[in-house]
This record gives sequence, C-alpha cells and structure tokens, in this order.
Amino acid sequence: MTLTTILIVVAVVLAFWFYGVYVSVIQKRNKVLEAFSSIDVQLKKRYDLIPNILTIAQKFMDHERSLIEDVTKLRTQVYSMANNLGNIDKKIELDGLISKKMGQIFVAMENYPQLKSDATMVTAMQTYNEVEEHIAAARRFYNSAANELKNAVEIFPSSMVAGMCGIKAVDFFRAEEQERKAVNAQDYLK
Amino acid sequence: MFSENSNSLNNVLLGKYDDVILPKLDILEDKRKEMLKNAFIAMLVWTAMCGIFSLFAIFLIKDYPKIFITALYFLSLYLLYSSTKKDFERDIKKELFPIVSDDFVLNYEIIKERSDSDTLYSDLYIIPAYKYLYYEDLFSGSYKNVKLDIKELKTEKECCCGFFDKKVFKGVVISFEMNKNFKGNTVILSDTARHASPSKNLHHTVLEDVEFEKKFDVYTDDDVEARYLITTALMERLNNLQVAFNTDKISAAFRDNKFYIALSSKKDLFFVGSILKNINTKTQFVEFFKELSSVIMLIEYFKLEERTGL
Repeated sequence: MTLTTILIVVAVVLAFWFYGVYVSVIQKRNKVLEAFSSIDVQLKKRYDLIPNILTIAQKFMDHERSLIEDVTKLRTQVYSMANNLGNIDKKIELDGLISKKMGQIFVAMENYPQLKSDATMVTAMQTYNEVEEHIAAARRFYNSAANELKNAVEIFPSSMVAGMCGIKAVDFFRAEEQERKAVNAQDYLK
Repeated sequence: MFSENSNSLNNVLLGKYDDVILPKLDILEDKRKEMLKNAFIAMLVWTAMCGIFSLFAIFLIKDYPKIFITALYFLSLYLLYSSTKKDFERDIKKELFPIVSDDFVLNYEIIKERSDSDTLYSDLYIIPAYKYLYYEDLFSGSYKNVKLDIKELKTEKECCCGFFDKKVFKGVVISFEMNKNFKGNTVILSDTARHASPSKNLHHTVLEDVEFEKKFDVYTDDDVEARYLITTALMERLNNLQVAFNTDKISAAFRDNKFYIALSSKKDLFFVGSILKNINTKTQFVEFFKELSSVIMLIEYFKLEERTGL
C-alpha cells in the first residue's frame, strides 16, 4: 500500500467524520429553531385567547380599563414583530410584560364575583392556564435544544466544525430578575 | 408516600367488609366447603376412572407409558384444584363489589380469561410484545370523578417453535382518565443504553431530571407535549413509585387522553379468600383492601383529580 493510498484513505475517513459532525451540529441548530418556533406557536395561541378574555372582562371591569388597554397595545406590538432568533430578547421582554399585566387582570377579577363565576370566563381561564403550561413546556424544550447546541459549539471537536460554519450558541430562556427574588408574604398579607 | 386519605379510603373499603361480607361469611364458608367437597368427589371419581383405564391399559397396550399417564393424571388434578380455587376467589370478589361511597365507585368485572386479540398494551409499548394475554382481575370505576381501570394480567409469547409459552409480563396495568387534553403519544420506559425507540413514529427525548433520566427513557412524537405531560413533579413521583411498590419495572404511557402505568410484580396481587382456609377471618381482606387502596390512591399521588394536575 503506497503512501498516496494511505493518505487518500485517511482523507476520505476524515471527510466522512467531518461530514458526520457537520450534520450533527446542523441538526442541533435546526432543533433550536424548531423549539423556538414551537414557543411562538404557543405564544400565538395565548395572544389569540387574550382578546376573548379582555372582551368578557371589559363588560364587568369598568375600573381596570387602562390595564386592559395596556395588554391590547402590548399584544399588537408582539404580533408585529418578525419571528426570528434575533428578536428573541425583545420578545421575551414583551411576553414577560403581557404575562405580568394578565396576572394583574386575574388578580383584579377577585373584586368582580360575577365575572369570576361567568361560565365563558371560567372556560377561557382554564384554556389560558393550559396554554401557559404549554408555553412552559415549549420553553423547556427550547432550553434542552439550546443546551445541546451549546455543548456542540463549545466542546471539541464539534466546536471546530461549528466555528467553521459560523454556528453560535443561543441564550437560554431565563426568569426575569423580579421573578427570581424571594416572595415576601408580608407584602401581600396587609 | 400517600396522604392520610389513603387510610380513609382503606377504612371505606374495610367498612364494606363489615357491612356486606360479615353477614355473608357463614354462607361463603358453606359455599367454600361445598366447592371443596365437590372438588374432592370429582377427584375421587377421576382417580377411579383413571385407575380402571390404567388397569385395562396395562394388559391391553404394549409399552404402556406409565410415567406419562401418571404425570397427566397429576396435572389434571392440579388443573381441577386451580380452576376451583379461581372460581371461589372470583365468587368472593363478586360478593364484595360494587363498592360505592361519596367520591368512590368500584366494580369487579368478570371477563374472558384469555385474549389472543387484545394487543392494547403492546401497542402502547408499556409491555413487550406478546401473543397471549391472561386477565386475572379487572376492576373499574372512579375515584374523585377520575375514571380508572385496574387490570391484573399476565402475558406470554411463544418460544421454541411454539412448543412452549414464555412469560413476558406479570403485574398490574392501571389506566386513569387524564386531567389534561393531549393528542400525541408519549411513552416512558426503563432506561437502556441504546435508547432504541419502540416505534419509528417516536423519538427519544431527554428531560431535565438527572435521577429520572438514569431510570427511564422517554419516547414521544411531540417534544412540547411530552414536557407538558411529564412535569418535574411527575418525574419525581415516578422515581419514588418503584420503591413504594417494590416493583422490578415501571413503564407508563400517555395516549387518547389516558395515563397508563404498568407495574410488574412477581407477587399475586389482589388475592383474597383461599379455598383451603377458613373464610371467617378479616386478615385476608385487610391485605386485599390495602393493595387496592394503594393503587387507587395513585390518583391523588399524581394529582389527577385536580385541574392543575401533575
């Protein structure tokens, strides 16, 4: 076996190995995109549900009009944003604001027993909770995919291939600073 | 593992013993003696028939297979005893059920013992593929408005070119109506190094709980839905379930809005009323109700009665 033949065999093996690692890294990146898209699908379901809840709430909650308008504006803002990984930080921020405002609406509902017992509102809230659970599941899926991609980008030898192809790690979904703080019950039980 | 409610459920079931069974104990005891007597008479008649046949056969058949015929005789006696014992246990259970309480309904069903066409559990992938399915006990009902089925069963497959049947699974399969709506198919199986999916439509997915991942593999056709169903709380509870039930293997599946759990067990569960022992004792019922309430309390353990669920 000549030196040339050995070199050709080694080159072919290396090429196959490189292709295998390249495919693996691309698959991990695509999984992140799929996971990101699945979050978007769930968020859209939530945003589509919000008008129904607000319409029912508006009939009863005269004093919370500004809160309802805030949620409507935020929803419109989110809907107009393009769906790509570049917008993720802004999307997380807006989604966090919407969640917070909707939480305030649900708390305010306690002052309107008629609204709380309205059958349509009960169904809408149950559906909203289910969607929230799906969003949480979608985030877990995204973080899992982001973790796999991060490992591939940072650990040799796949990091070398990822660097050559310009594939970078993505940020995880994380809790807001406010959400990480311990809750002081005294703030609520006054 | 279970809340104080498991004791209260157990008390409801034991209360059933006081209300329904105790008054009937004398009748059941007479029935037991009658069945034993009939079985004994049948054994004597059969022994006499076999004896007469053997006497003729020894003189008329050359190379009369004595050992084979003797083995057949004892096998037939065992089958007679086994069938009588099974009929008696089923009669007692028929007397005990249905059990109805404020938030609890449980029925005992008599179904065809062997099924060659029921492949539900292998289609769910919670039990390895089998040819024959034998039902031992079947309970159905609801607890706190959650419908459930409890089936004690055994499955076998053919081996050695169909000459023998090999046991594939023995234990309990429980199905609960889920409190979450879902469309796909998610399966939780014991951990394997290869992570080989049981179906081409399902792919392996890795979840966050390290302890859970060491013991189980999750296969699903929808990653988001799998995480929607298998929350961190469920993972922790499944981890503890194996120890609590002292079982070799647990597998679970989510399909058609139902949650299936398969618990393998070498022990014969839900056993009550030995035909060879006096029925006038409460102790055998105590163990039976304890096993039953442990299984039913899985509804509370997995919080299936709550909208927020697992």
